[in-house]
Amino acid sequence: MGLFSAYRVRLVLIAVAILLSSGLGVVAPFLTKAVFDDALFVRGGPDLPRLYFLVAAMLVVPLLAALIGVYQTYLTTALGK
Amino acid sequence: MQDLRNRLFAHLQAMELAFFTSTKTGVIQSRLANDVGGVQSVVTDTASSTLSNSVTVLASLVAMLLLSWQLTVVSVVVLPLFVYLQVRVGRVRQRLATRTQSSLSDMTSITQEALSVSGVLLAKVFNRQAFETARYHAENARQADLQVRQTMTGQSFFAVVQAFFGITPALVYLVAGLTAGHGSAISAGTLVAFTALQTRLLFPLINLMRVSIEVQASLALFARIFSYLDLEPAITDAPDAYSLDRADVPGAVEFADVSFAYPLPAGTSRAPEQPVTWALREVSLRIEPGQLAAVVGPSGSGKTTLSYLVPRLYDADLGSVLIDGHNVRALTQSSLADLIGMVTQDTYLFHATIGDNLRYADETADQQQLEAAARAANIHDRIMSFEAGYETMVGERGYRLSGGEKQRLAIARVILKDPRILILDEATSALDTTSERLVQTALETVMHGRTTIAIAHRLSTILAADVIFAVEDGRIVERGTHAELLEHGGLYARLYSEQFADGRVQARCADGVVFNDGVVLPHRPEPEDAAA
Repeated sequence: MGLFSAYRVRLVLIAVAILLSSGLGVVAPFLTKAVFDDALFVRGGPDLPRLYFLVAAMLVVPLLAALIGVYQTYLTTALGK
Repeated sequence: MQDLRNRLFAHLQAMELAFFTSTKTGVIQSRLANDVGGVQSVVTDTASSTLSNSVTVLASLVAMLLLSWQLTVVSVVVLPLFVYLQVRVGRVRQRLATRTQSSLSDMTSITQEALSVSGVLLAKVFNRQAFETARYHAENARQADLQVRQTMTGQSFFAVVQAFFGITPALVYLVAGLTAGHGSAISAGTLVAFTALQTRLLFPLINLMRVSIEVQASLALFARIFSYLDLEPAITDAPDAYSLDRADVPGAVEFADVSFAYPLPAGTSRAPEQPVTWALREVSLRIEPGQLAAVVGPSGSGKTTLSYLVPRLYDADLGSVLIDGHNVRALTQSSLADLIGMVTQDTYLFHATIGDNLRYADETADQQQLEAAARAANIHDRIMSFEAGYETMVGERGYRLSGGEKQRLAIARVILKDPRILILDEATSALDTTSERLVQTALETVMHGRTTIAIAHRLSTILAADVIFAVEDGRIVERGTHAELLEHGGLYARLYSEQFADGRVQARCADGVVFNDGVVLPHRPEPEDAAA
């Protein structure tokens, strides 16, 4: 394990990155549920302000996940070398 | 693909000798192996996947349109941008593919050069293995880097495509919400069905784009293959070429005012002020049927070139070469090849049995004929001394045989072929003094009854010659019999005194000098060896 001790910080970072990106992956379906239940199909027509917010979140979340993914790949490749 | 490879092979076989002297063997091998192979994988993958993917994409699009045309527009609005990007990516891949293939071709060349018998020998003798290994390493690293870049190019493009498809559901919900306010409500069921269709669209679409990029990259490979297929063989049969029957050919050889210059390597051209370097200039000669003509001259004077023009390994630039009055250009190449036999300095043997190598001259020859030819060539006893006799495998380039044995096999091969005209490049310097006598007697047998053009390095050959041509700097400077030329006191007389010590030396071999009276003097450095 001595071999890895120098890379401990990086290993932790990678672990955090993996947790975050997986967590974000699970968020998306909940956003969809919110879009259907709380914005589109509510009594008295769609709640547009709420819809804008949720759609914005649905755009940001995958982008964030992608960024974390790139960072994670970078970390892993750098570690591999 | 098999057809493409066969066509390429057959086409390359038809190319003239000059193409092979100016192209590295490895480069040619790489076109046949790597380029055709690269195209192959694309074509097989493409054909099968394109159809099913196109059908899926079309079906999904139609279904989406049926559900809601507004939402469909939102989902496909960026597709043209993707198509544009994909073409760009394809171009980059094409450039990378060209570089990858040329690097692969360099690698094949290095392998072929360094890992052949001669290459390994050279590297070992000069202690250059480390250098060769480094050369291979460098090219291999370049190759690996290019491969990685090929794979990576387009990854970011596909990431963008994938991200777009990831966020389109959000856009669809947004549009659904906005249109709901204007009365044209989109039901929850429509939305669910629509987003489901969208996901179905993603993977086939990405696959189609991937395939299209692969195809663009493979165009680079096709370009390399077709650049070879489009090469016109410089030496071909004339449209009205005719065949000569061996039986009707007495075998007179004539050169009428022949000049020849070696073609420049492909892709280079002569500067206008640069003079043409003629290898042969205004050569005229006539050899009667059955005569033995000896060609002598300093090395590099054009003796071998002269012999190459008879079987049309090269075509004369000016003047003509005639066999019994027929211009060799008017004959079919195959009938010309039937008439002429050649024993070259460097005997090439295929990696096959001795018998197979001999039968290369005549596939129909039976064992008796093989043995008769081998006896005439003084090699039968040697062959029988091998455990497997005529079934002995000779290694690549016949490496288990000595130079003299290989030459005698070459002579046996030509005896089997029984040509009307024999071209002989006597290579005594590749022989040891013991083989020399065996080869000499074998040659006397084979020359008998044929027109022979001998590039002479043996006293016996020049003394027996009906006519001797002394060549210097591409011109025939003297001609006549031995006695006439000696009397003349020119180039021939000088060569005779240098090379044959005024008739005392029979031949100069690798390990010594054979004198005319049979005495062998083991080798010592000879200042006049340059003349041999």
